[in-house]
Amino acid sequence: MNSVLSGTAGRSAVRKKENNVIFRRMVRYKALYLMLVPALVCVILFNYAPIGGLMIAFKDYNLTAGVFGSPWIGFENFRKLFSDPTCLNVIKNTVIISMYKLICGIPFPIFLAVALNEVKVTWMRKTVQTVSYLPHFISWVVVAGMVSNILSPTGIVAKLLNLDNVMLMTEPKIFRGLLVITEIWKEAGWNSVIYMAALSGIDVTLYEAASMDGASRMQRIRHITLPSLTSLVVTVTILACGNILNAGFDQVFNMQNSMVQEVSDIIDTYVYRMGIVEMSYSFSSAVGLFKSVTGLIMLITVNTISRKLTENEGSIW
Amino acid sequence: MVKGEMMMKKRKIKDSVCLQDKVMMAIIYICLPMIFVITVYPFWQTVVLSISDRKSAMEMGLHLWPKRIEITAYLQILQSQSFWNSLKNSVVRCVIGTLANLLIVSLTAYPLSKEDLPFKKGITWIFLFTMMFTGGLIPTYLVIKGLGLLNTVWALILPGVASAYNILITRNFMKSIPSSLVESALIDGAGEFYIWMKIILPLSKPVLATVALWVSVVQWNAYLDALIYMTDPDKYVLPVLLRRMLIDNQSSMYVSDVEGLVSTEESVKSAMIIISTLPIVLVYPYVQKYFSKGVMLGAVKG
Repeated sequence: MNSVLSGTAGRSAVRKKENNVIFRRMVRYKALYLMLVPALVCVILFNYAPIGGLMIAFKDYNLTAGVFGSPWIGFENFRKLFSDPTCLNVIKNTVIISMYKLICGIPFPIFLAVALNEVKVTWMRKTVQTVSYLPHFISWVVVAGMVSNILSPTGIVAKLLNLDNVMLMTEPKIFRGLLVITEIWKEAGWNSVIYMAALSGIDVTLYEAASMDGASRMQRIRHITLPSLTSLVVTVTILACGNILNAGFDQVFNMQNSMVQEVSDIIDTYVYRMGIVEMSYSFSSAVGLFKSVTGLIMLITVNTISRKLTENEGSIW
Repeated sequence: MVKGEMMMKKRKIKDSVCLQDKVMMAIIYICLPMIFVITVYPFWQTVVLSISDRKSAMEMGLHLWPKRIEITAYLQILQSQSFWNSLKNSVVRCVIGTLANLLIVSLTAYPLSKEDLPFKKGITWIFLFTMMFTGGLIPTYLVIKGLGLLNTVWALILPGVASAYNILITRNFMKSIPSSLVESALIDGAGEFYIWMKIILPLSKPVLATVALWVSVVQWNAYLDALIYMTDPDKYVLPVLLRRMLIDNQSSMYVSDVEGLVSTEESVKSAMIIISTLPIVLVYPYVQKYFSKGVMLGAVKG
């Protein structure tokens, strides 16, 4: 009995001593904690306060009563979200558009990286590389403006396809395709950066050994280059699946028009319209909360999957 | 003789394999220039449109070369008060935003790079979590409105100033700075703040340059926050003006005709696109390598 008591006493003494050490270290590092204060204040104000503000998703918000004064209405907004056909259509659009982009977007950066890797003419490689990254740094407002020029009845596409007076931007049948193509045009080059880096990490002696054995370039690509990219492609794709509810607000917002809204309206543009334009704050917050929660769940899921598959290499945290 | 035969045989094998290779290389050497053309054409066409005269801008065609060069559209824009005003707002936003971001990011990254800082992990998670879950558009708007930041430049700067991603890559870089440097300064009696300013910051220049480039591009291109928070037309930034002109089709509202000169709306819009992307296109080739380096910095796990 006695020894047990003294054991716990000893343990708590040790813990006390540890706490003391930590406390003393905190005092010694007080300047460091002070340095963290500005960022923490910003994050609390602009990231955590809005998360708290999500409570208006469960309220009937009105301007005069404010966030705290407005009456609670429970899950009414969410009931509306899952019964309103427009909402369901918006969710459907979001998933379809992201899936299209995800699947169609996979091969282009890989092709670009492998092709650039094979080109031995330096100026050509450098030029294509630099130019293909460029669109990534141009805003979607500008890209949307350029696309509408190209697709206008006087533009190059109408000329090449011999179309007379067709407004391609307002054609619902092809609009999702347009979103996919412009996304690839803008991002494929930049997405190839990560593959280029992986390729530069391949051991050169592998290629040398292969060519000694008489392997052609084609065979070297098939048996050395591509296999070394497989796990990266899997990781990138899985992580992209976690982002499926982000179908690209900037792009859709700037390319969209009322003629194609039915097929192109995504969660983010819907939230913008319901919130900022129509000012139904509670409902659009509910839609936003639905998106954030689903997004977080998917992110954790895909990260777990990717961690399992690649044994901790492909985790983002 | 035997040796010669062997050589011949080897050559034959190599040749037969090479045909396949030649086809592949041909495909590559055709595709890459095509990619180049496809990427550049939209920009080029915009330039051509912006300097075309009224008639040829309206014509159907490839717009590969202007028939008659006219710079009316540029003159119109350069004489527009709204343009200069929004340009000023954009520059202010870009400069203050980048400096504030650098300050906060480097200030935050240093303590988090210390291995033995108590509660370091928990504090890091406070930042990490903001990358995974957000309050969304409307709650953020309400907070900014509640703080009275609407129509001030701070509404565009403060919400993104403690960017978790930038903090993480900067912290990872600072971790690689030898701790012996810091320790010897500590022994000499220097305070942590002094160490941050005199040792850590100068050594972190590469990563801070990358962060600065990222932030300035983001600030230059950002429009949504400005669209929502800056309702006063005097406070428009360039991308918002661009959006009003391009997407909402209101170019005549902001750019008035110069006496005697009339260009088409298409030319004015194109000229506006060129002017607002010019800073990026001009600076970009020189700094491109920092950007791609930044991606790899980010790939280092947190």
